[in-house]
Amino acid sequence: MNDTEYTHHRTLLIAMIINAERTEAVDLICSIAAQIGYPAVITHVLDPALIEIGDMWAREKLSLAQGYVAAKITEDVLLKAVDTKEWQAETAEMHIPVVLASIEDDFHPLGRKMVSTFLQLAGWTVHDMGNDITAEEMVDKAVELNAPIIGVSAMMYTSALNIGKVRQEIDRRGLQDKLKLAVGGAIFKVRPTLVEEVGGDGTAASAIDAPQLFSDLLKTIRP
Amino acid sequence: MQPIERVMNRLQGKPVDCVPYAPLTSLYGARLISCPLEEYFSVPEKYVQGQAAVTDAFEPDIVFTPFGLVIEAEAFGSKAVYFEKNPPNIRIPAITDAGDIYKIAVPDIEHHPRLMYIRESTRLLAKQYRDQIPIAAICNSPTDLPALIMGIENWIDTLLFHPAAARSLMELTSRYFVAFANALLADGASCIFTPASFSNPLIITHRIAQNVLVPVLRECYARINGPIVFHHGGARLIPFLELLHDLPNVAGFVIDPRDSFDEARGIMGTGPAIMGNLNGPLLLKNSPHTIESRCLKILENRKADPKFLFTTSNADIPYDTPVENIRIIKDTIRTFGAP
Repeated sequence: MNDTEYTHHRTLLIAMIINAERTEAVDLICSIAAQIGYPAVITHVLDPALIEIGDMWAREKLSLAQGYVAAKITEDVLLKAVDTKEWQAETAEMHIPVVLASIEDDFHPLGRKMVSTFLQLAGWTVHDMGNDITAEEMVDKAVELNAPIIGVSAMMYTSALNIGKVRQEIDRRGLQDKLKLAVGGAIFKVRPTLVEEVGGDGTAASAIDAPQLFSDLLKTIRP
Repeated sequence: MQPIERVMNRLQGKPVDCVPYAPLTSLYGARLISCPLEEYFSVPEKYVQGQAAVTDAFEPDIVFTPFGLVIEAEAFGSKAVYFEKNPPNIRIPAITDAGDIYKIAVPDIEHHPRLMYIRESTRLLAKQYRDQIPIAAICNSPTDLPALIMGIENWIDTLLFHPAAARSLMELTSRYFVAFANALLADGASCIFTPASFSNPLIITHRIAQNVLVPVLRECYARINGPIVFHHGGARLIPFLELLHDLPNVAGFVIDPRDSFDEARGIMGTGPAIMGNLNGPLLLKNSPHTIESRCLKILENRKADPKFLFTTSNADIPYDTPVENIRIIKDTIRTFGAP
């Protein structure tokens, strides 16, 4: 398959995501995977399409629902890919554990689940702790798994302020060089300075951008 | 000039002594009377006591009924969680699958205890204030309520992939919305104040907003026996105001802090009132000086607009917000005087 064909498939896929054509999009990816395998179709078609979708979403050119469609398509493709030998061979060396959770007092799982899907596509092993998780619980889990990153989400301003407790807990245990704090959720788009306010090490403009953020944060870990 | 006269004049574009203002202080009343939030959002007398403290402290031009959107969802079977200082939230939705919509029934608006709490609070507020201060009854939009009944993710999923189930659920929430909103008006509310996020193309696709959700709002709003204030619901209003500006019975729109008043006015014309757009939740951290500057900027921007009302936008003003951060809004507006 050449670059022109990849570009054609990417364009088709993006249109399907925008039009919420989940079944058609998954069928398209699977039909290409039958020719070139899942790792290649993800690298050359799905990943670049997601980057474009993520960019449009970050610029508010797409709705949350279209981001959700992208996540569901990714989830469907991952389910099919994980059983294939070529996917298992491709991702055998990855699988770095990370912890995800919605902060104490937050009961909004949607964004966190979408982040989880895109991280898994990028090869991270996600331990999703769910809603309303305390700082101590998150840091305990990260230490237990030897995870280098905790991703914390919050939807509302007042609950987002509780993320500051995770920062304090990381610092209190002297883990700031080994454990990074990624933060996200609707409120961080409305108020970008909140990342600094709660002591986050970084945020992403959309769930699709989370893998890049996590990769960047991983590079800042000091052994 | 009494608040009722100030607000009514403003809605009609008539002269006022100063811009009417309404900080969203439903939750804040609990702080002023040191009442635990679960009690405050369960006992009408406590809520009204809290709002009396709010009116004493800040002299608002509008009083709000409880801004506890999950309370209505509780009546549909969702389980809520109550916090020490934050508004209640949904812990367990009533259903988690579009296939279970048949299990949902419209609650009895005359007897369900959670709805009776809202109605009794409205009646008590009306008894105390109706002749002096307009009462805005907060009511979930029929297109947003499903997100509290089945969770945001499941509601998005249902709208996207199970349109028949989405229509079935909105048939129930529409029937409920019309009955409940009209009951609140009969109880003494001056208007219905309804946040609506799920008709916004930043949340849902433009096609679904235009073809599915806005028609539901149009049909429901036409059956409401009083004026409606459309609240932006936490998302920018401008990108979809074109779809909404001529909804029936809508007397005004509360816009997002990121929205431009001029742009909004350009789209909606001179008919409805425009309200906003100081960011309520951020009053917690901003200094009185910053708040004063922002208020003045808004007042300057709207000084030639005869149908502008100053309100906070987004969610309720946080519990821990210093009193002086709210008082400075009133002082700035009153000092600014007649526009």
